[in-house]
Amino acid sequence: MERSLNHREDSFESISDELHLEASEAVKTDAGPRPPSLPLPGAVLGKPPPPARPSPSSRPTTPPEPRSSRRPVAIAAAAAIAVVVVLVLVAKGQVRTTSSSSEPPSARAGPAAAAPGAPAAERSRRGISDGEILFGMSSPFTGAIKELGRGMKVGIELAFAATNEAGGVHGRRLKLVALDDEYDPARTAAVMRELVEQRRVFGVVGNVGSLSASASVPYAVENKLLFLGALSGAPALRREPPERYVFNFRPSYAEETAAAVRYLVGVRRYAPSEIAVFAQDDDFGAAGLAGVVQQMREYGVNPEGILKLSYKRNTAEVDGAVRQLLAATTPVRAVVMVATYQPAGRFIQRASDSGVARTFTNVSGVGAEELADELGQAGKRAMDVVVTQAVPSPRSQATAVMRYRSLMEKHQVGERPSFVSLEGYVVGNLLVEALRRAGKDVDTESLIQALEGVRELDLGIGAPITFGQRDHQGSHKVWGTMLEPSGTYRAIELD
Amino acid sequence: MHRYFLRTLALALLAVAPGLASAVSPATDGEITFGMSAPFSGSSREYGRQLKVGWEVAFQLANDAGGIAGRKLRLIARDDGYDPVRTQAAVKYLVEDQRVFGLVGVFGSANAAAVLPYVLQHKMLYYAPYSGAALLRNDPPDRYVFNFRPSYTEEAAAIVKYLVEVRRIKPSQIAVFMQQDGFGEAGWAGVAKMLRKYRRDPAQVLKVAYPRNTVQVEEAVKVIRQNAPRLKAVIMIAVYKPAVRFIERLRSSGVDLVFTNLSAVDPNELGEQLSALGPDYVKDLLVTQIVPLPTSKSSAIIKYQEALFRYAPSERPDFVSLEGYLAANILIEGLKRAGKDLNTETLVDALESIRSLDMGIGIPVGFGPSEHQASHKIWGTAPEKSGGFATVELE
Repeated sequence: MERSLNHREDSFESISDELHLEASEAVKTDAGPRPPSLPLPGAVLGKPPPPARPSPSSRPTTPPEPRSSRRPVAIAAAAAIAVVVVLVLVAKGQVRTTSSSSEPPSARAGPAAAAPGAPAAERSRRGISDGEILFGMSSPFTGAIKELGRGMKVGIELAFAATNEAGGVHGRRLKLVALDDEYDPARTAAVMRELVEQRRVFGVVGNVGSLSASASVPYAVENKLLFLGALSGAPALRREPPERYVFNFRPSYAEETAAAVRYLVGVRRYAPSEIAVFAQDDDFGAAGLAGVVQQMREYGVNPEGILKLSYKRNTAEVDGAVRQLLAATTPVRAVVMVATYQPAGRFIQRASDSGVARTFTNVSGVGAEELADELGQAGKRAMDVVVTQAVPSPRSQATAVMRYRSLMEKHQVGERPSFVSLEGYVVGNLLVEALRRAGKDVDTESLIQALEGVRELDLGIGAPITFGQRDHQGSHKVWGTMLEPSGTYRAIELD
Repeated sequence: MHRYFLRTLALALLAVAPGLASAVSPATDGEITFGMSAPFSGSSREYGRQLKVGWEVAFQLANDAGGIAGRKLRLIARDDGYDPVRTQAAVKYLVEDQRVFGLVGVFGSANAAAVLPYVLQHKMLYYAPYSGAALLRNDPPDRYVFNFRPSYTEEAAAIVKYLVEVRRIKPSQIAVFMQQDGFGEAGWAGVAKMLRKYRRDPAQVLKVAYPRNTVQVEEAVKVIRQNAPRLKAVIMIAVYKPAVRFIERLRSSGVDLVFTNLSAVDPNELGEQLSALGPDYVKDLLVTQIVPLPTSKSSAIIKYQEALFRYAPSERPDFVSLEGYLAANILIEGLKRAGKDLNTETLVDALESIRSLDMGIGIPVGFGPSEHQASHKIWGTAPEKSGGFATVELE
């Protein structure tokens, strides 16, 4: 079960970045000025173009594309920043990222003078020409969690590359323009506007960072923009009933932590009272905590009694949490963690050094590979560390995952298979399938209809994907993985 | 001089032999060769024999109907004595010397564990092994591994559910008798998983074991006898010989328990040997099955019986040969779909395209990229005093 064929070593990483840079540059050229002959949305429908559409000549001056890939992977760098942090509260928009100021993204120059009032029908074929469909992505490509933005982009581009090689969808090639929001929700709004108003993307796919969802989801819904497959398990993306334009592939963080609690109690035989929570002090942490509370209620445990430890978002300050853990009156043997990899890694080291807790579970948003690297540097990989995942192991020998790896070898030489890029690949394929079903005359509304018609779609990852009008989350399946001393993860059964 | 010449000739012929063997490789237009490693000696030899019968009958039926895209199917079976180390050698021989196209019906869980890394590394088809072990059922499934039968987890779940909900036995009154190896562990994992659902801590379950490839059940019998007053049922994860001996010893000492066994036991042998001992010995015995009764009169099973009568007239219908026969027929469907342009990759793609195939066994079977197990159906059966089996409702 612990096969690790096709394993790529970390040493390829720097090569990977160089090559990736070239790839980025290539896309950049592609994403450059649009030939004037291409039919624009307004022209297609015989209506005047939207008022504030930037003139094609202005585009070359806008440096597009993420710059993150130019930087070598600096895993131990900077303060730990939440990966898939969910921050619904706009109030928290002041949060900064460590490296944001040094890498101004193209979007910064993006005009805020947009065309909000364009008719819906007109907007809905934006980004579609005879030969191409353009999608956008707003994700962090700089800063401490840039690896997650990069992973999603790599995965989606693999799915697009494979599709384009086979002739595209109904004759159209798929293209992704990914812009850096620097992991700053205030930037996300501007990036989203640039994607829609300047880049004129058809929809947004694979956004990373739930923090940004507070800015991007309302914008997408307001502008009837497809918002598909974000890397986030946050409730902000999962309204009930679901918002028409928002589709998720992955399970919620609450589903992940509930599965973790069931595992700790059912399989590992810990008493519910022996389980504590360590969570980021924001909506990301709150989303995970909700799942713990829900599962504890199932066990007849009063959620008030759960020991809740927290740390401040954007820091790795875990001393307070560790002190609280040591002072706990009832002994804690397992901790459900809803944290990013740096504070998570540090907390595991401290808590295990003190000999208090034994087993640590993490949600997928932790960044499994990065957590393994953190713990590897501290010599702590032998710890009992579990990570729940939204996709199966990227080293699986299943047909779809093998195909993902062989595409990666071909299109992203030197890239290391990861849970995040596999998720991007799955999201990309889901989009491709929906586009196929929507037909040649696709527009946003017909694509939504096609997505809502997806039932039991088998993309080969083990869990069939189903959507409906009432359910915009394709998968509810949570995989269990356990960290091995080698730094890879092996599959475990959660129940 | 003569002697010397003959010896040289013999050596020369031996040297040519591997070349001859490779002539029947999948590359030839006329034939597709599959390899099977199973016990044809030792205490589990009946399994190997029956499995081979089922596969060969299906192949002969297909060959007499003209083969697949003009090619005949052939099976090369190799004895491993149920010993994982010998399975490794057998599989290596089949792959490297016999150059088989794929492996089918390899017998045993520990045996699968021993050869799976080699098989996957060589991208060899590992089709319908006789095992319900989890390592053959990764999620998502390994591309080259296809199962016909349900997992031991599914069988164990059906058994535990039956004991608790139909027989009204408390989870705390259930003990486990298991083979001491990968097979026992695989079955136990399924039982433990289901017991947890009933809030029973698997660590508290009374577990007794016997060594693989033996009938040394005395210690297990002793422990169960001592604990009999607080027990109502024993779930057995065993092959037929030790299973028969275990039941025989306990029944003869007056221990009155419900015994259940996984399908892997070879139910025919179990039933026959126990009913030969007396009517009391088959009482309260449940065997889960992953194929319908081989004596059933449904169309598909009649076809199996007729094929058996035609190609293996000395054989009686049997659960194990029926399993081989049914698994072979899904493979044949895959080969047909792959057509003339046959290689492992096209065959795997073709197999993954088989959805909801109605073979006439009461449930549709099929595969998909996320689904490499054809069937999830468990039947309950009880051996009858007169021989044969009665069906038991599991829910």
